[in-house]
Amino acid sequence: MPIFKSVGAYSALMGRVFSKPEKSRVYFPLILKEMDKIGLQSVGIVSLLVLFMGGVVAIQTASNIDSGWIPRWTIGFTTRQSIILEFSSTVVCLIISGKVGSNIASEIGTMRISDQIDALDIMGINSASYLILPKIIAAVIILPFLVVLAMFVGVVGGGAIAIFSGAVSYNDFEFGAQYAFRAYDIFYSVIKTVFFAFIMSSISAFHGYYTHGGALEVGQSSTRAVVYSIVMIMIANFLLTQLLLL
Amino acid sequence: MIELKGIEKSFGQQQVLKNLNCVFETGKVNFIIGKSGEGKSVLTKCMVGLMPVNAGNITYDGENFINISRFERKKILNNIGMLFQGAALFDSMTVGENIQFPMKMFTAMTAKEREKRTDEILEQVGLTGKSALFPSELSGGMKKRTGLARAIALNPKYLYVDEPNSGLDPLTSIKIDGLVREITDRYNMTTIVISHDMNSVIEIADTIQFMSKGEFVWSGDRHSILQSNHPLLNEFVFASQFMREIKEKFR
Repeated sequence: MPIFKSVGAYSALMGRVFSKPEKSRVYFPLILKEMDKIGLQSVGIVSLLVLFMGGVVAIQTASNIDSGWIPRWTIGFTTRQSIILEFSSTVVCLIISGKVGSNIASEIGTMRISDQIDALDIMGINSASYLILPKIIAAVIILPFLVVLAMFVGVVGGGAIAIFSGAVSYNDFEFGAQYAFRAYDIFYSVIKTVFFAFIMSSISAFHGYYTHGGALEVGQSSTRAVVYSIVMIMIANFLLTQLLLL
Repeated sequence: MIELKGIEKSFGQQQVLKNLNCVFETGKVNFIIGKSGEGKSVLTKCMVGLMPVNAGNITYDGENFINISRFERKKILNNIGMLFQGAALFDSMTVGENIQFPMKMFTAMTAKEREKRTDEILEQVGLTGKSALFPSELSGGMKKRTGLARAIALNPKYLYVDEPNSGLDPLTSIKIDGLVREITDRYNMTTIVISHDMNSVIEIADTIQFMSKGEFVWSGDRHSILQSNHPLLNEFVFASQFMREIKEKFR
């Protein structure tokens, strides 16, 4: 789809998604189900990846400090800042885009090619709202919690890996991890996550919803959903960083 | 009663539906037949509002279906049930949940009432006790029956049935045909069946519209279809040697 047509179709779809739902109370269990699928089922993979990311950042920082003028506690400080400002929000949302975004696109795409979406429309149900809104709301609610968890696991786990590998002492890491801490950094990261969650869930749903053809096209939609989500997350990351940190 | 007046539909330069006029009567099983790619599915999608028409009008018991508000259209859609070619059951729901879904969305029925109604419908379509199964656990015929059960869950006035027998063995096909007939009679529905299957046509059709290149070129009933001399219709109906032999014997 040419870009202007895509932007128009995306906007029109979002208009339908956020129009008044048929029966609001039907949405509540759907949102809870999506929160489980998008958030809780990603806790394991996110924790594991962030744990090693924290470890790698700490060890790489340690290996790059060869000047005696730079204190060792910088390792704790750098690890904390990297994890809180960037890795917990951006990288976690990129991971989620790969895992959940492709799932959303293929789920909705399969419903499209098997006429399930037409079935909803013929019943008089706003299929866009019924299928997509719970996913967007669930992602926007649950991903910030996942990111806060990632911050904790990344800093604590990263520190533990760095300490056990002998890259830094416990006292140095602890001092650095607490040095010049600003609660605003967590807020900044959470705000970014809210935007990323919206981008990831809505773009993935958009590609799934407009799938035409068969199984092959569902796969293509799924791939496009991940690629476009990642690109848009990176662009949004740049804009939000400009807006919130400068 | 469903009435089409001057329905036209184009995709770019290609005109798919050309000035279609027709009345589908209440309490009858109305067939639309024709070769693949002649516009039957497009017409169905236009009739249920999945595609806009370029010209013409569709009325459901005198109520306009074209150029009306979303709210007005929803009122008419609540009276339409549709069985899709692949049944289009919601994979994440059980048979019972699929049937209860429209009740949940559009009625104030309690869970107990919904279950009671579901059991009634399942009995009608011969799926008693299958409520807890998922679509992936059903055979093709059972899926169609579940789709039919979901389509009639709200007692619709109009029933669309798209290729009810595709992928089914002859015995199951006859059972599905019988169900369509029975449901139409019991609820006095306006039923429209899109099909290629001549067995179904001969078995249950009250009226038949034959479509070719986006036009209704012949209309009649299941008795007159075998006697017609319309060349395109004959080519379609008597495509197989077996049917040609039957025609000879019939004469």
